[in-house]
Amino acid sequence: MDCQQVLVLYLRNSALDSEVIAWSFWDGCSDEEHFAGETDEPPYASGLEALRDGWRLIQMSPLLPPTPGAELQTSVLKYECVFEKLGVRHV
Amino acid sequence: MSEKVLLKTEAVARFVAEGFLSFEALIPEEVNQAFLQEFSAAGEAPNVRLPAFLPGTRWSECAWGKSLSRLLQHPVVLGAIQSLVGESPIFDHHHIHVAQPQAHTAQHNHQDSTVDPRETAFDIQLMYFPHEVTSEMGGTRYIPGTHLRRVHESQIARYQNLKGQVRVCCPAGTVLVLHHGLWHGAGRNTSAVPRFMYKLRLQPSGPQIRLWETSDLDDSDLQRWQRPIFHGPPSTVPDSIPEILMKSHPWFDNEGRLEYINRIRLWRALLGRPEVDIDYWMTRLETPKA
Repeated sequence: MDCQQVLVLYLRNSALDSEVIAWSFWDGCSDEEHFAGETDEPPYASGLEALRDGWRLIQMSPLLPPTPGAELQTSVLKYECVFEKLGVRHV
Repeated sequence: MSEKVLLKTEAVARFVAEGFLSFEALIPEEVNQAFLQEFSAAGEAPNVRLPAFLPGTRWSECAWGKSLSRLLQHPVVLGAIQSLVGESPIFDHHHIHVAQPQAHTAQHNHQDSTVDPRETAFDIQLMYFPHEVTSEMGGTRYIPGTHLRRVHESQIARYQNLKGQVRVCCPAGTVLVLHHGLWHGAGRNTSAVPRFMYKLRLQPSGPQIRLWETSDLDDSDLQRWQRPIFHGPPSTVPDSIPEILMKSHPWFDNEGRLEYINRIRLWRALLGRPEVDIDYWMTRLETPKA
């Protein structure tokens, strides 16, 4: 059956060639678990490096202006890029 | 409260910048063993024997029992508590967390409780590890410096790994004191034995202004914190405070400078000195004065 692997990279800024600062991976093509705190080094140094390794970019977080009155507030990570690879799952 | 060792200014600055303080192997082994004996008795849920205080109970009204008293009356623990939340903190909750052995996964990253809009106040969470935590035991994972980010509990669960994340791996008797906002989660315990951690949340009962040992601070220190950004005369007096408060973390993105600003805002509140600044970050935004 067809399956999907999802890689989410959080970048230093809005450019795809900026440095990865956080990352997550879910694998729909195997039974292998990936979990919080699994690795200390990212799988790619930048978003561009993931593209060059065959990952398809399917979503980037939009660039939103600061909310008036809350310009100094920090919250979630701003520069999220979602990548996929399609594969075949053997069941 | 009885005998205590208050925090120094440098330690409080580290707490403001990183959101935690760590005291390795602080609690004597005899107290650790007494704690484990009392709360990890075979065949019984460990939390059954914890004293059941109502949230909101004042510290002075809490009858902790023998082993918890020995932990919480330790001069360094008591001093850290008083330095951060005052002499009469408010009990919020406590719990013994048990990470079961041979687990397949880890707890998601999260911030405790709910989104918390307080800007000049914070709660603390004590984490006490009564036995050694090896790398296989999945000690609590935390991300230094994330405590001032306003998120809602497991909203951040999507973030599996952040650069600079730390896993507690420590000798018996280690105590961590966390700002309530620090992002964290239990690690995956792949060992053959359960891992125990006692957590206690305390709230301040009043303003958290200069509660620590401040004899190491004077007005000339405060002046020195306005350092030149690029070019200018270096200070001739060594001072670790601006270095600590302006330290970046590997996970910082484009918003790192906002982290500095939020640290300065909290630092101002703790000093009770709203004019204090470091490296001109706040003064620039406040010029001209209203």
